[in-house]
Amino acid sequence: MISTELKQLWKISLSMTSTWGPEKDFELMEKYKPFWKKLKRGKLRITSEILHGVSESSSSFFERQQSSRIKTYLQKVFYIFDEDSYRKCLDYFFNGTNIKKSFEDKRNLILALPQKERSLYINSFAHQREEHGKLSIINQYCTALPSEGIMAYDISNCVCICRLGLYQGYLKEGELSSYLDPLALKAQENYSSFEEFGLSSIVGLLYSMDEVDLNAYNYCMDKLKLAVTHPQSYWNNIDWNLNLS
Amino acid sequence: MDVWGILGIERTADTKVIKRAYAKMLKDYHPEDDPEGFMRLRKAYEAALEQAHTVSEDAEIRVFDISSFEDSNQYLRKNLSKLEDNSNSVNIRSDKEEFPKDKKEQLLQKVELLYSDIFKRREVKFWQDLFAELTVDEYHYLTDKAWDFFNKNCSLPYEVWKFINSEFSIFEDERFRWTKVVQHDFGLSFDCFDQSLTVDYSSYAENRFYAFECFVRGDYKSTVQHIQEAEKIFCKDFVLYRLKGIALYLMRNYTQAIEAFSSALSLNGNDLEMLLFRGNAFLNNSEYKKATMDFYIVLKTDMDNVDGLKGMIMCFCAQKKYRSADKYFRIFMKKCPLGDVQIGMLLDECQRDRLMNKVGGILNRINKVNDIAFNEETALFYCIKFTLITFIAPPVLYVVLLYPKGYIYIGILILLYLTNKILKRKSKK
Repeated sequence: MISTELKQLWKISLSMTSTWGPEKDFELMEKYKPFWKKLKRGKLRITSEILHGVSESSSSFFERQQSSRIKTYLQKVFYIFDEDSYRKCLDYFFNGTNIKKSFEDKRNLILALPQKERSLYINSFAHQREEHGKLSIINQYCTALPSEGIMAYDISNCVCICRLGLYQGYLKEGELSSYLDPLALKAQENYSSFEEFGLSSIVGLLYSMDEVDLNAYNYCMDKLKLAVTHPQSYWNNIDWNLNLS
Repeated sequence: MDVWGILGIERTADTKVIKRAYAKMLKDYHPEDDPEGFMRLRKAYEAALEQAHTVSEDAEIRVFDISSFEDSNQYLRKNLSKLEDNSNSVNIRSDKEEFPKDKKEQLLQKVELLYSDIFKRREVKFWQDLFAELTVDEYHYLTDKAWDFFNKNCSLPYEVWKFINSEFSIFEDERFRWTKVVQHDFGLSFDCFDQSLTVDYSSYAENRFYAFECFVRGDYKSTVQHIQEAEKIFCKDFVLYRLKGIALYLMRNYTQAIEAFSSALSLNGNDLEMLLFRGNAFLNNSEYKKATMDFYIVLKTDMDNVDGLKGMIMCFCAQKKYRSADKYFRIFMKKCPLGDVQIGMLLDECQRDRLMNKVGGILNRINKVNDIAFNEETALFYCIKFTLITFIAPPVLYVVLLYPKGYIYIGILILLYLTNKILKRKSKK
């Protein structure tokens, strides 16, 4: 029988390739060492720390500092300033962002065009760097992603917003499953492995950037490598086809 | 503002440009929403056409010379004042009054007639002829109705769409449904239609159009359905198989996608894009040898093809042939300095494997050395055993029977046994 803890970990693991990244999750695994052995023996309980993806500090000073850092991150990246803006942002990611839609629209157009026309079309945006960059990313990864495109980007960030919102008190613990469950099922239905999900999410992250240079590329690659190859990673210890129902 | 300013164009003798500008401005000054604006526009339009005719008539007599006008502004002013004088007499009537219903029907019938003939409709020339005959009122009527007609009759080649747009600015009309599809050249040519064959090309072209429309909308299932319908009528169109393959590929139906790509390649064997897609489909189907073949052909034709290199790397890495992938990794890095997420991950895997191989090699050497050492110790152990059994055991037995000398021999025996044990332990270490 699959433990509820494992299911919960599967769901929260989807945020590893979000803009927040997987580093804090690894910190927690280190704290609960040996994380996976404990889980196997049934000695690990999903604490609020693991759920939030933020380790609790014993000092109130550090706790406040951490909270303010997360607040700033939410403000800068997702424009979340209060509960109201949080709800809007959460629904925006939950229902599918414009980024995903724009990716799909452009990909469908690019793929329908014959190769020559496609190159001409992409090069016609040479003077618009941002648009040209976006089209180049689509062209580069159009065969690598399934029909759902960068849906993983939305899912990953939505799970991340859920976890951090829970930490900030914008979201109640009872509400969490109403977001996490459908997101996890959507991910499982539309992708075939954690690797594919991660790739799609990272391509989405690259696509959402105004400009992709080597630094941006390395930043994204580090996230994916850590999530996919780290031996302690959720993705290396849980089966993608886990029965979530 | 002069007539040209109202129409939003530079002064020109080209009636086509004037008509186009008028059609464009009509959207902003619709007779029902802004009758005054419409009247102003209409007057400007007619004046512009009149001026254009004057200029072209002059041009027929002599080469147009701007200096022939003492003052071009004066010329315009003169014409404008003429217009203003007539403004009260110009009566802009509603469509119904201006353009009788039977004429409307006749006009639409003409357009429909042209559209119904697939071999005529594919030629821009016939459309040009049709629109050249139009009177201003007819043109005005068609400008207003073009979106409706072409919403229902949408299967035309790209060149014709371009011409229709140049006439009616139809792509800018929000009521026109197909702008997203028809403003790009998807290669939906009608050239492959053979007049001597009795094939229902019209239905075919329609299905093909809807297939592309569904694909651009992201509805891959309907795309495939339309293509299957089209295939029943005509099956020698590369574009159609290409789209079918891509739609199936995106739906992860790799086996059928391979079939479609193969059909496309049977019509155009040199198409690298199809080879790349088929290679990727093979790769996703775990048919690595076939995938490698396709990528190999691509790279043979175009050595710098980044997608071909990527495919080759993925094939080798999937088969854990990291050494073979090395060469392609190097070329890929040169061609794509910004990197690729998939290749980055594979490179990491490749490096890890190389590191593991090195560590494995070192461990093997240690084991070998150990084995040798152990073998030497074992030989010694057998020597001692042999000595014990052949030389020492019989006298010991003898002496044990002749107590008390036996104690000394037993002592020697234990000593030898312990030495053997120590040597064994050492060799294990």
